[in-house]
Amino acid sequence: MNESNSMTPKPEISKAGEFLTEHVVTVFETMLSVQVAPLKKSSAESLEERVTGTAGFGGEGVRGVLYLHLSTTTANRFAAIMLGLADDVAPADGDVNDVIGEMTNMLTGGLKSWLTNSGFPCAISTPGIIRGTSYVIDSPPEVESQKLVFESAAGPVAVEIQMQFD
Amino acid sequence: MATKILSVDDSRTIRLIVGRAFGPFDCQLFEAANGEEGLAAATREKPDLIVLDVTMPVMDGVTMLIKLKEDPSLKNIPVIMLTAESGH
Repeated sequence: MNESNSMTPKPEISKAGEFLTEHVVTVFETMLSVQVAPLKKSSAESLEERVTGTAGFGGEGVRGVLYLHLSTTTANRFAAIMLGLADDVAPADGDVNDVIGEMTNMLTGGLKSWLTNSGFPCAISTPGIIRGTSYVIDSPPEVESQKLVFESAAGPVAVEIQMQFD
Repeated sequence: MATKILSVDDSRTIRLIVGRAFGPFDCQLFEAANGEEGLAAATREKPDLIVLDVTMPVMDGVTMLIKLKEDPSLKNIPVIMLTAESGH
């Protein structure tokens, strides 16, 4: 394992974004057999009823949060695929939370490995779920953030990261 | 005689995926939602294989693994650690 120290250069958040873009595509393809394609412009701002998976990460010289934003319809569809439900069967909210939590955990786990390989070993928290309408995730000015948006047959997928290095 | 598999994970989704993966084979699946329940299930069922998550409430997978290896009756059960925190 790489150890961080004061000489370790801080990775740019855009590099983390590049890694995550590939990782999101891989995780959705592997776990859901769903193709997601990165978009240059965000369309996820307009998501109204939303399910957001969130997981924190932190360790030697770095801390942050990853958010996975989906419309309720898209989250339900992904949960149905993961659980092997028929098209006309709606998953229970608890099952949707569990599936989206696991997807968030897998994305954050990949970011954790990338940060560790970049000299910033860290651990991740257990995932949580936010449900609501038209909310915005904000952060203090010293925290860097990046939002990645993807399209899929089930609807848009947005992944947002907020990171701060010491 | 069916092979006994114990899946220990706090996520029902992951336990379901593990069960689905072993579905085509002659396996009997047991489930536990944390390390404490996992240890009890391992003691009771003496599984042939344990698929073990790392991060769980109550007792995490690493602690459960240590306790398994400390127990002479359980230490030889093969364990596969299954986690999103790949590589490290």
